[in-house]
Amino acid sequence: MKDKNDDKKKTRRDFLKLGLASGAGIIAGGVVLGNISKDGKTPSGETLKLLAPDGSLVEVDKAMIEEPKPPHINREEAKKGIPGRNFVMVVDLSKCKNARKCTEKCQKGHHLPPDQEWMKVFLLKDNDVGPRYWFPRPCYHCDNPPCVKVCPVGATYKRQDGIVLIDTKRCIGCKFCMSACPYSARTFNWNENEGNHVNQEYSPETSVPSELGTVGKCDFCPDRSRIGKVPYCVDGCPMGAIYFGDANEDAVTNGDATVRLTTLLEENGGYRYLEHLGTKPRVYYLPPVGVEYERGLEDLDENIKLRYKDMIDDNDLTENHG
Amino acid sequence: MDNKTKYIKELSALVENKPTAKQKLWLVFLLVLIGAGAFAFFYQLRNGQIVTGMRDNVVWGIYTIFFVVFLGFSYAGALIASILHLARVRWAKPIVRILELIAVFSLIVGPPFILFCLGRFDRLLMIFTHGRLQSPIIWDVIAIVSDLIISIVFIFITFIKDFALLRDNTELKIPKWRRKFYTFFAFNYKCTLKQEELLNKAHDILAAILIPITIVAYSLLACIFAMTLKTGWHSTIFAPYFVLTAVFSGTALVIIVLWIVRKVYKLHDYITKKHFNLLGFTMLVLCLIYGYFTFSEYFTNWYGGDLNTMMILSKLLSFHEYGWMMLTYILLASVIPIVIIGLPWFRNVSTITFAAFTTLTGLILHRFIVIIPTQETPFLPVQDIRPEYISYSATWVEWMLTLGGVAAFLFLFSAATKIVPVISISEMQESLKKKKLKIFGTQPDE
Amino acid sequence: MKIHTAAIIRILTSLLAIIVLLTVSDHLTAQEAEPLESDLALTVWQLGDGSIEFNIEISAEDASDNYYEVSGALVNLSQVIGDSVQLVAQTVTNSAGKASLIIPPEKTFEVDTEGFVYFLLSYDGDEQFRECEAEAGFKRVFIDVEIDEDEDSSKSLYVTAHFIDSEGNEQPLHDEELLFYVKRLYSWLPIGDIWMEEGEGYFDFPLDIPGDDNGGLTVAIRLEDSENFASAKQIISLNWGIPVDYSEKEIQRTLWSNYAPVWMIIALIFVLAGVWINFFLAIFKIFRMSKSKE
Repeated sequence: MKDKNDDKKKTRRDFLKLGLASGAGIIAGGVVLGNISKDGKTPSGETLKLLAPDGSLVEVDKAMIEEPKPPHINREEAKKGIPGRNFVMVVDLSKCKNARKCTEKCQKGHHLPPDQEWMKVFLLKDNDVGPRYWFPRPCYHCDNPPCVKVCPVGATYKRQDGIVLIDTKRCIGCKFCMSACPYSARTFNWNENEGNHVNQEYSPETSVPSELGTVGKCDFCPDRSRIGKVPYCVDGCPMGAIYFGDANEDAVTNGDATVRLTTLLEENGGYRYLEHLGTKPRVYYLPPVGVEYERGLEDLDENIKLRYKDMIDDNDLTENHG
Repeated sequence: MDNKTKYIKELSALVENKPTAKQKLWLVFLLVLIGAGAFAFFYQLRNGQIVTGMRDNVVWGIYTIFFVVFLGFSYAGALIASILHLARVRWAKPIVRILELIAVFSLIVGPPFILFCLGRFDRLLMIFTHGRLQSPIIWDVIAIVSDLIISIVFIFITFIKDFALLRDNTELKIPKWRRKFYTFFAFNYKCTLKQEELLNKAHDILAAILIPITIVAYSLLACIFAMTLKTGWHSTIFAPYFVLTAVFSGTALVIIVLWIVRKVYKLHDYITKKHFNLLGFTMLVLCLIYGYFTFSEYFTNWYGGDLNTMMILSKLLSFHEYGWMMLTYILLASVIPIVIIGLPWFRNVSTITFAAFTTLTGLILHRFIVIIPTQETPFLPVQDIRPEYISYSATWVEWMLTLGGVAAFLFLFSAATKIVPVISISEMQESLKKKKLKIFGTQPDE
Repeated sequence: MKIHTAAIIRILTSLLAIIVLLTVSDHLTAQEAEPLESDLALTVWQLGDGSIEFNIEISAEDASDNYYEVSGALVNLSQVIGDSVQLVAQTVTNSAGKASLIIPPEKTFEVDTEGFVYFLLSYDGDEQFRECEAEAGFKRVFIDVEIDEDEDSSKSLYVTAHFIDSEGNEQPLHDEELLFYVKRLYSWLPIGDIWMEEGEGYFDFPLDIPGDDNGGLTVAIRLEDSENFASAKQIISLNWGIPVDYSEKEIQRTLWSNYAPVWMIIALIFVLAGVWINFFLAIFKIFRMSKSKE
C-alpha cells in the first residue's frame, strides 16, 4: 500500500516538474519532450538531468516520455465524431502491388486474428480483355450506409465526420449489417481470440478490445486522426497507394505527398465502386493503369496466393512455389 | 342419437382419453429430441457461433430457414382460419381448430430460431431498450409480438364455447384441475343469447384483424431479406412471394396434420375425403400461383441478365452446386402435387397427403435455395481458401437444435390435443344450424 | 608405469578442463549480443523567429530486418567550433525514438570564416545499441512576409529573406526557391513556389483553398534542403481561405440516423392503434360477456 502511495506521489511530483519545465520551455523555446504519460504509468526510477536549451538543468524520468497518445473517447463521445471533419480515402489502383502491408499493419494495430481482415485485397478483372488488378477494400463508410439502416439496436452508427463505427458493447450479433453490406466489409468475431483480451479500455474509435459474437470492420482509425496520424493502412502502404484526408480541407495525403482531393480525382478519373447502388461511399478509386498484377503474387504465402486461384493462370500459381 | 349429441359426446371424449402407450412413447421421444436441442443450444451458447456452419459470407443458415418456415406455418394457419371463419365456410368447420393450433404453436416455436442466430444472446433485451424503428428486425419484433399476443387471446376466445360444454359435462372422467381449467377459461359463458352475441362479435373482430396482421407480419419478414441490396433478395416481389409460399406450405402442413389426427383419434366421420379433396385443390391452385411467382422472379432476373443474377442462376443450375437440390425441389413441390392432385387417377386421401408431404419438404428446400446461394454470391468475389467461408453446410449443432425445435412444435401440438378438443365442438354444432351466423351483424346469404 | 599413467591422466584432465573452459567462455561471449548499429536521423529547421528546431529520430535494425525505435536515448546537441565541441542542450528520445529541441533566438552562435554554424548531435549508445551521431552545418537565414491585399481582390504575399554572412552582416537571399504550403489535418499541402531574386519575391496566393470557419489558413513558407542554409521556414496565419461551415449540423431523421423519420413513427402509431383498438374492443366484449347475467 505504502509503496503504491509513494509511487503515486512520485508520479505527481515528476509530472509537476516536467510540467514546469515544458511550461518554461514554451516561453524560452525550450524542451519539447512529447506527451507526458498521464495514465499512472510507474516511473522507472531512472532519472536523467538534462541541460535545457535555456541553460537550466531539468530532471526527467526516462520511462515517462511517451509518444503522444490519443485521448480515450468513451462510447457516448464516440458517437459524435471529430468536429468539422469529413474523412475520405482515395486508393490508387495503379499503384497497388498487393504488398499486403496495409492489411498487416491494420491487423496489428487492431489486434485482429489472421482470419479477420478488415482491409482486404482482392484480385479483380472486370471483363475478358480488361486488366487484372489488385483491389484493396476497406470499409467504405458510406453516406447512405445500408448497414446502419438495418441495425436493430443502433450499435453501428454514422457520425458527423462521416465515419461509420461499431459499438461492440451494444452489438447483439444479429449479423443483419453483414448481409446488408454490399461490399462484404464486415467480419464477425466467431471465435475467442487474443484481440478479445487486450488490456485496454474499450473505445469504438480504437475498436480494441474486440468482443466475441459481435461484428467488426475497418474504422478509419479516428483515434489516430485525433493525434494527427493517418490510418494504419495508409501508413503501412509502401507504394503510397492509399490517400487519406479531410474533404472539407480538400486535401488527402498518402503519408508522403499531400494533394488536393478534387485535383487528384479530376486528373486521374477517380470513381467509386458500385456507384449505382447509391450507398455513396467515402472511398474513391483511381483506375488501374498499367498494373503488373503478377508482382503482387511474388513473395506471397502459399495459402494467401491460393485465394486468387480462380483469377490467375495455373502456371502463375506454381511458378514462384519451390 | 342425433348429430348434435353425437358431436358433443364423441368430441368431448377426445379430452378424456388417457394417452396410449404408443402416444406416451411418442411424447417421450419428442422430449428426448427437445433435450438434445437444449443441449445443442447450451453448447452453442458456451462455445460461440464458431460451432455453427455460419461464417462471414453466409451469416444466416438453417436457423433462419426454419424461422421462415415456422412463421410461414403460423401466418398461413391464422390467415386461413380467419378467412374460413369469417366466410362461414361450412365444410371447413372441423379443420379450423387445427389451423389455429398450428398458428399459435408455430408462432411460439418459430421466433426462437432467429434468436439462435444472435452472436450475443445475453444482449437480447437491447432490442427492446435500444430498438431502432428503421430496422426491419424491429418491424418484425413488433409484428411478431403483436401477433403472438393476439393469436393466443384469439385461440382462447375460440375455446370458450367448448370449455363451457366440457365444464358442464358432468359425465366426463377428467381430473379436477382440468375441470377447474375449463371452468376458468370458459369465462362464465352460459350460452345465453346476449353472451353468444358478444362472444361471436369478439371472435369476428379478432379474426378480422388477424388477416391483415398475418399478411403484414409475413411481408415484414420478407423485408429482412428484400431490404438488403443483395442480388436474389432485393426484389419487389418478395413480400407477396413469401406470403404465398407461406399459405402454400401451411395448406400442405394442414393436410398432413389432418391425416395424422384423423388416424390417431379415428375421426373419419369428421375429417372426410371431401376435406382432403378440397384442401388438395386449394393446394393445387396455390401451387400454380406459386409457380407463377417463381417464374416471374427468376425469368425477369434472367432476362435482365445482370452479372450477379447470372452468377447465382448458374450456381442453381450447376449440378456441382445447387442443381440437384433445385431439381428435387421442383419435383417435390410442383411436379408431384400437380400430377397427384391435378390428374384424377391418382387422387385419394393418402396420395393427397403424400403430395402435401413432398410439397412441404420441397418448400423447405426452396427456402434454402432462396436464402443460402445469395449469401454465397456477394458483389465482390469470395476470395478465400477456407471452405466454410465459401459455401455453407450446417453442423451437427445446427441440425440438433433445429430438430429440437421441430420436436417442440410436435410436442406442443400433441399435448394440446389431449386438453383441447382437436375438432371444435361449437363449430361442429354451428355447421348443423340452418342459418349461418351473422358476420358483423349481416346475415350471409344462403 | 604407474607414475606415467597418473601423469597422462592429469594431463588429459587438464586438457579437457581447458577445452571445456574454452567452449563455455566461447559460448558466454556468443550469448552476449553485439550492440546493434543505430542511426540518427536529423532534420533542422531555421524558424522565422530566429530559433532553430532540431528533430531527432534514432532507430536501429538487426540482421533479420527488425526495426527498433531507440527510446530513452540521451542526445547531446553541441556546437562545433574548429576542433572544439561545446555542449548546447540535451534531450531524451521518447517511446517512439523521437526527440525535438528548439534553441531560442536569444542564443547566438559563432560563425566560421564562410559564415557557417556547425552542430553535432550524438548519442553515446548502450549495451543494446551502438553510438551514433549526425552533423548539420548551415548559414543563418531569415524569411519575412508581408501581406499584400489589392483592391482588385487579387491577393499576394511579399516575401523578403536574408542571411548572415561571415562578417555578421545581413545579405539578401538570391537564387533560392521558396515553397508555400497550407496546413491540413495530417500534413502540409503544397500550393506553389517562387524563385527569390535579390532577397525578395511575390507569391500570388491561390484563392480556392478551404480554410476554417472564417477562412483562416496557416501558411508555411519554406526553404528546403538548401546547400548553404539547411531548411528554414516561416509560418503565418491568413484569412484568405474559403470559409467552411464546421458547425454541427442538425440531426437528420433518415433511415440510417439514430432517430427514425417522423412519417415512420406516425405510420407505426396508426397501424398499432388500428390493431390494438380492435383487440381491446374484443377483450371488452369478452369481459362484458363474462359479467353478463341473464
